[in-house]
Amino acid sequence: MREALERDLRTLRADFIRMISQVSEQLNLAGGVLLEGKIESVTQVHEIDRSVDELEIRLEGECLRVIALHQPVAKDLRLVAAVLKSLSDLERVGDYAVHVADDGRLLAAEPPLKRYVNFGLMLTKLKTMLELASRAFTEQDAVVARAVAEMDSEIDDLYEQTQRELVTYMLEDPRTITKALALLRVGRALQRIGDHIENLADRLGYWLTGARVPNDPPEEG
Amino acid sequence: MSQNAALNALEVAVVLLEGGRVSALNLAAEKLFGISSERAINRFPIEIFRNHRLEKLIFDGGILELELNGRTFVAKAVPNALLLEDVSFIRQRESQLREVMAVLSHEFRTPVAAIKSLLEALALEPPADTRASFVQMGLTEVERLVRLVEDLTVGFRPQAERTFPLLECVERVQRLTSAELLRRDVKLEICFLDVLVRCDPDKLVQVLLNLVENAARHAPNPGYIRIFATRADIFWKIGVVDQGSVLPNYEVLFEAQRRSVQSRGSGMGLYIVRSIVRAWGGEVYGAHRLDLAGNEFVFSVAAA
Repeated sequence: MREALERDLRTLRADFIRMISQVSEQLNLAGGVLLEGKIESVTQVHEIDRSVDELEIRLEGECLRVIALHQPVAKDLRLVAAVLKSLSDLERVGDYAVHVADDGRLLAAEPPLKRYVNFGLMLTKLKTMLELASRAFTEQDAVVARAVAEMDSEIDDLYEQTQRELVTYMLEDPRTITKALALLRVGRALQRIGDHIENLADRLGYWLTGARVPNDPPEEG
Repeated sequence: MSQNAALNALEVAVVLLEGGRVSALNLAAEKLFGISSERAINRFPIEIFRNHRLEKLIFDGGILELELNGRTFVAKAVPNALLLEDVSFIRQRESQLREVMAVLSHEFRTPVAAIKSLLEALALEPPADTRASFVQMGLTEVERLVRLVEDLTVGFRPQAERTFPLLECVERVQRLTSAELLRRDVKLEICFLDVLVRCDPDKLVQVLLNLVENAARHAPNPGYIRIFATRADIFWKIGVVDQGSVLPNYEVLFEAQRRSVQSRGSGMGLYIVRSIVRAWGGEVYGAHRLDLAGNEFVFSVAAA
């Protein structure tokens, strides 16, 4: 019985890593569209998004099957719950990557309003967050999961800074409003991606420690 | 040497597989994926790679280029193993070469097009004074091409290292730039005494020539350029100081594609300076000197 549960959990974990990896690739490609004008990647970002959506449905089924079939408890249950609840977060990351790619394509059609330094930084940090979250998941490392969650504040700071800068552009020259609004949308998408990865990291932390916040007393099991 | 030791000595990351599970990682792979071989054994490849493309490669076979940990790798799937070679350096060099080729093709195109037009005009046998003017213009364009070729070849010439006074090179630079400095009313001041250096004098002339010409062309005219030398351990630090105002970013000036709008140079002056100086183990940088009220470009060269 335990062996069967182990096997199913392993399959679940493997599919979850695949989902993180696919979302990470989407984000990478979307960054290429935005920062380097690689508009040929937009289609691929959409294609991967469909694959991510399919994985979400499949994983949801796998989670429910594991619960129904094995009635997992303690850490195993927390793992299934963490995966189940994080699916929509990852799916949303994929959707926002699509938005970034689509806006990147629009922005590439005209000369840039400014050099997208902050977006480059945000994308690099987000990719690192996803890589580390994936590592925290495979290596069951709660410290790394915590570090990922904490990185989100850096994304928020960069977003605020970008927002202020773009508002200044719009106030100074109303002709920049259309472009600045597109850039604001991109900034907002990246900021939201950070929030979703933070949610994922928090859930991994809960799975591994049984504590909702770092200082909470751990649950038994 | 045992099989494991041989695998660990490889720079290529190697992941061995057995029955669809990981059976061993060499040291390079442990470093790349941040996991020890012991922890990796008997796990699904996706748990180690955390990358769906690599996992697919194992099943489909073939070769794939991808980014991992911010570096570029070529991954190759062979039966029961995955090999990953770091090609970041090669890709970086390729990108730099493409950059240089873009600059060069642009630089060659302009004088060649001008010479073609001038020759076509001369074929129509214009009056003597116009012909003389066309010939002069043609020669100016040829000079540009000669200079461009010289810029290119200096990096490839073999080193001819010897010990000699810095003044010897500075005087050659003075002779080479005298016409331009006179035209621009820029004075060259030598602010050092008895400096002996050890390097290839032709390359040192090239470095100084590029720096002095840059100073003359980009700093205010009329004005002056000063050359300083300061001893720093086993090196002399040679500074070329002009009267220019602060520049936004000094580091980017050393990149191949950087060239100011009014520059008539090859667009590679400072890039070549950095290449030469780094080749002899020195460093080069630019900065604004408040005390000297100008920009200073400093490079180091071995003291004799």
